[in-house]
Amino acid sequence: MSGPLGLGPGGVVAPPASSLRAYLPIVVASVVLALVPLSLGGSRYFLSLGVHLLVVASYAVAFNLVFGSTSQLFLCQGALAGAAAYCSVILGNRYGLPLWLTIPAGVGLAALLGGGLSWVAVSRRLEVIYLGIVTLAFSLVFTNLLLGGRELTGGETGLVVDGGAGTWLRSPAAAYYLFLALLVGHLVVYRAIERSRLGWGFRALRDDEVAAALAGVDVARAKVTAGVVGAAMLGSVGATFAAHEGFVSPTTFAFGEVDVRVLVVLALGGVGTLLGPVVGAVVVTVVDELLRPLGQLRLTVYGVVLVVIFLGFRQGMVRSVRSLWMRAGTRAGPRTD
Amino acid sequence: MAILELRGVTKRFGGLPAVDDLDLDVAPGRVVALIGPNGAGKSTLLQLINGLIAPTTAGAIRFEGRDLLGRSPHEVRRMGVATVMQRPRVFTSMSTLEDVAVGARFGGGERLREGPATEVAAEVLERLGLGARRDVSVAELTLHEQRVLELARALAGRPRLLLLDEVMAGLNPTELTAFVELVRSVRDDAGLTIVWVEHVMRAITALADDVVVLALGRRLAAGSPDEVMRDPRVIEAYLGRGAQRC
Repeated sequence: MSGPLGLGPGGVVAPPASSLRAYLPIVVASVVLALVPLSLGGSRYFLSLGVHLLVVASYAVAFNLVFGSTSQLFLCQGALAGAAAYCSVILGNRYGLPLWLTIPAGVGLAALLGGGLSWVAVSRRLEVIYLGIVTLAFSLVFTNLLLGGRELTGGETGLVVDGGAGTWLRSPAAAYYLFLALLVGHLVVYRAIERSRLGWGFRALRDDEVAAALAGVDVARAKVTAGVVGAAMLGSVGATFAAHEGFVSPTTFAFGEVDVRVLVVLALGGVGTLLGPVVGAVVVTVVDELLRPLGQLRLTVYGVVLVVIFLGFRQGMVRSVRSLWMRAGTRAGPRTD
Repeated sequence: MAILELRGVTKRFGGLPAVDDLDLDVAPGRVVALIGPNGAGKSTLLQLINGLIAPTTAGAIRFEGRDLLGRSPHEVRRMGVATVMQRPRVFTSMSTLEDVAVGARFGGGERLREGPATEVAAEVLERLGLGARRDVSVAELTLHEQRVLELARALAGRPRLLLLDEVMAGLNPTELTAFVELVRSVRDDAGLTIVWVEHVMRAITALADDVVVLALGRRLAAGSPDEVMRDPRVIEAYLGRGAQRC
C-alpha cells in the first residue's frame, strides 16, 4: 500500500509491507555503525564519542515512539533515563544486587513513570503543549529530588557506580558494541510496533484522534502503551549508560544535556521516520566535533549551523533526502509522451 | 423491540440543558431523522450515543439492550454503533484503502489481521463506488469522496446502527442525490438502522422513515416526514410564530 521507498500518501512514511524491506535499513545502518570503530584505530576519545552518539540516537528512537507516533510531547526523557539509572545504581550500591537485576528494575521504574504520565495526559485530555508543560515540570521535580535527597542520591556530587566496575562494560570498544546492540534493539522494536495492529492505531490517532476513536481505536490504551515502551527504552539506555560511565550525577540526565539534544536530533533527522534519530545523531555529533577547535565561538557557530540545516531540511533530513531521491527518479524515468 | 432506547436523557452544559428529558425508541431497520433548529440538541444527542461527550446528566441509553453510558467511543464502535461526522475526519497520511482498513481492523467485534482487513476495505470501497480511488491519498479526495470514504470506514466494521451527523451539508445537488441513493442502498443491503441528524429536507423526505423534531433539547413532534412537515408546531419552531398566518 505504500509507495516507492515506503513513502506513503501525504509524504508520511508508511512501513513497507515486506519484512525484508522493513528491516533492511536497520541491517544496513547497524553494519555501517559496526564498522566505525575499525576506522578509528582504537582511539578511546573517538570510541567514547561514538558511545555518546549511540546513546543519544537510542534516546531519540524512544522519543520518536512517544512523540512521533502518538504526539505525546515528553519533555522528561533525561528524567526517565535518570530515574532508571539512579534506581539501578542505588539498588546495586546499597544492597549489592547484580546489574542483571538492577538494570531491569530501573527499566521497570521508568516504564511505570512513563505509563503514569501518559495515563495522566489521556485521562485529563491534555493536548500536546500541556503535556509538554506537565512533563517539563516532572523533569524539574526529578532534578530537585536528586539534589535534595543527598543521602540517597549524593546530591550535586552524584554517585560512583559499583556495578560493572573492572568489567568489560567500562571498556569503550565493548561499550560501543553494547550500545549499538541497544540501538538496533530499539529500532527493531520501533519497526515491529509500526507494522503491528498497534502501529496502525498509532498512525490513525496521529492523524485524527477523534476519527481514530470513532473507528474503534482504543486511543487511551495506545498512548499509554507508547508511554510505557518509550520510557522503558529510555530507562534501558540510562541505566546501562550509568553502569558504563561508572558515575551518575544530576547533570548526566539534565534537561539541557538530554532533552534539548534529543529534540534537535529528532527534528533534524525526521520525526516519525525509522532512521531519523540515527541520521540526526550522526549529523549533530559530527558538527559538534568539527566545531570544537573554535573554542568559545563554538556554541554560536553550532547554533547558526543548526538553523541553516533546519531551514534546508524542514521535514527532517531523512524525508527531504527521500523526496529528492524520488523526484530525481521521476525525472530520470521513461517519458510517456 | 427497539434496537436503540433512550430514557429521560438529559445533558446540561453549565446548567443549560442541551438535551432535556428525552425519550426515543428506534426500531431495527428504520431510518430516523432528527431535525430541529440550531441549538436543538441534535448533534449533542448523537455524541452522547457514540461516547464523544461524557455521560449524560441523567437518563439511560441502551443499544440492543446493553447500556452505552460511560463507554468510550471505541467501545461503542466495537459494540456495533458507527458514526459519520459532519466535517469529514480522514487519516491524511493514509491512502483511501488504508483509511477504510482502519475501520475494518478496529471497528468490528473480531480482531482482523492486516490482510483480511484490507480485503474487507477493498470490498466496501468497490460497493460504494470508490474502488478506483483506493490507492489515492485521502487528502486528494473531493468533499463528496471524503464523505463516501467516511461512510466506507464506518461500514467496514460491520455496524448495526449508523449515526449520521449532517452528512449532506456542503454537497451540490448531483452529489446530494448520489449520496442519498448510496445511503439508501447501504440501508437496504445491510439492513442497517440509521439515526440521522440533517438539515437538508429534500434528503430527509427521500430517505427517512420517521422524523423526530427537537427544540431546546426536547421532543417537539414525531411521525412520518409528511406528518411532521405539516405540523404547525414544527413550522413555528423553524420559522417563528407569524409564519402560519402568512
